[in-house]
Amino acid sequence: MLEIKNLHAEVDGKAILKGIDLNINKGEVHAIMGPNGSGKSTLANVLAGRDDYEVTEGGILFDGKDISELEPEERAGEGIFLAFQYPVEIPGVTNTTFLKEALNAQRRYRGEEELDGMEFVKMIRGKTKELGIKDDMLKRAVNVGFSGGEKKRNDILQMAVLNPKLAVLDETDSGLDIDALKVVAEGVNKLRAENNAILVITHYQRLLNYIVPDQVHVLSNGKIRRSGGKELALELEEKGYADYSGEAA
Amino acid sequence: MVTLPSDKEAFIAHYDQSKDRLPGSSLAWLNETRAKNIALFSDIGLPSAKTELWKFTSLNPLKKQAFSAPETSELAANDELPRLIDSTSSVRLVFIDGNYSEALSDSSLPTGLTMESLATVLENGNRDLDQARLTRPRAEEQPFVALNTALMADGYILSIAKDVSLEKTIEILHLGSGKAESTHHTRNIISVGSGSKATIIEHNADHGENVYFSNAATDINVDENATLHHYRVQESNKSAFLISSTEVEVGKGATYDSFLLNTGARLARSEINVSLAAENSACHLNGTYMGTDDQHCDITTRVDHKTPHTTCDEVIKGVLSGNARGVFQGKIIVHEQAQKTVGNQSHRAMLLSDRAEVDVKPELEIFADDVICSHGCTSGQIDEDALFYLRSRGLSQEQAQSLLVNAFLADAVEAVQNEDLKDLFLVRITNWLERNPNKPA
Repeated sequence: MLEIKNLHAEVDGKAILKGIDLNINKGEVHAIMGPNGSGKSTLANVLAGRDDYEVTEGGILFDGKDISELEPEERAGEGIFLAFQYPVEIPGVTNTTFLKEALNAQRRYRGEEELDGMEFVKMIRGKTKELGIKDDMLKRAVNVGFSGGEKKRNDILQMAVLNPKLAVLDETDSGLDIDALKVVAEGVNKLRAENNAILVITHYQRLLNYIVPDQVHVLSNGKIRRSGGKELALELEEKGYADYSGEAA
Repeated sequence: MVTLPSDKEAFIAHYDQSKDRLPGSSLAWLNETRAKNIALFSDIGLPSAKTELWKFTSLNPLKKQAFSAPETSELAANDELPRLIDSTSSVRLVFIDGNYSEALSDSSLPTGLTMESLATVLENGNRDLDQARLTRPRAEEQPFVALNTALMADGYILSIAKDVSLEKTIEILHLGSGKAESTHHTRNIISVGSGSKATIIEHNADHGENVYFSNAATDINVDENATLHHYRVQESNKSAFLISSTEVEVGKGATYDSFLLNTGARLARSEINVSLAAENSACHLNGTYMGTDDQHCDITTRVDHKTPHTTCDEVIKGVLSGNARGVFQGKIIVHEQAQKTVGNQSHRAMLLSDRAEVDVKPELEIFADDVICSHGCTSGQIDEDALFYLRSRGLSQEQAQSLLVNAFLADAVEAVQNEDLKDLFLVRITNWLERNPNKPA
């Protein structure tokens, strides 16, 4: 589903990603772990198509299509979803309005029929129930006055509504206590399916206790240094990233 | 038709030529008032970049423009008139190029409301106008009001009796006929009797895209325990020059609630001065402005807290794109005896292009020691993080920007005190955004 080939990217002229190769198939969960400054968040932003991140070499194929030149909204339409490390507050825009506009924009992109008000309400009620989210959250402005945990849950709700093929979770665990972490992980697990894939980006192993990956990759200094099964995460937890930090590109 | 350039001498010449034809020219006191004011105008002259109150608003585009002397203009019979509020919930008065049109205005007014046109009152000379209300406290700072007093030709005199709660909104349409590059000086007077409640909404709109200059002065009295909601929807065409000055006196326990939605005109200057000289008087001076291309919007307010226990809130928000310019000057003066004053002011501007500019001058002058006052002015670009967040969920750049700008402006509409009219402003904001989609920079 996702094929990243020799991906190089820079921010403000500074090379951050220095040749990443990564393949993710349908139904798989991959984790990328790495020390601070290794390029983890850059990879997430590059996948989502943020403007300031420039791909200088290599490419990203999604379902066989090169998406590296697509706008963020086009990638969303293709089925890529980024759960943010710090979900943004949008005063004055309610969750419902936002979700409806987003979903219908994606459906338009894919040439699908838009949902009308009734259909949308029915669908979203189902999702909130499934995720155990109170309906009053829908009436609130996007993330405004939300606790850290609520913001992350809101991102998971968006993910449930938009139903992406690939979800990229960028340090979703940061700022969460263990209870909030469990709730968020549970939400993610509910959305795991044969036809979609998840890429979890994290510094710590603890999230992977709850979202169990098929493969773990160690990112350091802009390159994937090692890949392995879920046991690799435990090894990193024990030994830290010291073994990888010395490797210069 | 006489063509006039519009420097000071031209306006004075215009006065000399037209003074015998202005309404009420047989009234001695009025002729005297007009003469005194043209002399005052002649002394002060038109504001320049050196005039403190006008330093951010250049009148050069106005001065370069030639105007014709006003002629009576009429609309074609089948011309449709814009209406903000359904006729079942409003009474509408119509002014065409500054002149009252009895034929186009609603004829039956609700009990407790009287309306006379200034031209009629002056022509008939059968009723004494409250002459004191033609004199401003700081006349020497207001050249356009002096000019207005010298040349005023029409306007409305609205009176609301005591203890009346007007269910219907009074809608006042100021329509440019699109036929003449004229100047008009309208003078309006509003009196709200004690214990009464009323909503007035003024609408500036045009047929056509022609240049004209409207110089309006409005004097308002809100008596004891009365509430006046005074709203304006300024949607003149982008060649028009609109200068207005509103002077408000708020009585004991009374409230003046104003909201300005400004999207039109080449140059619009709205000056509002409020005097809170009676205990528990309050005012709300809120608004939003949206500018694009070469538009210039200036909102200048002054609130004088003269007595204890008075309150003022002010929330202004603006969005500018293209080469548009915004100006906000907000002065709050808390006089020595005005203890327990509450005065809060905020102005926030969002600039959607690198060429747009906003100039602000908040001024707090506090001479009392037991007050709660705050002010804040910010200006900035659209939040890039928010934009990316929305786009990453599938919204286009344009859609995302529109959603953010809409939310930014809608926040100011929250301050509107008459709940029924909030939607009217929100719809106009959305419409403006649809008409002016911003391309990615």
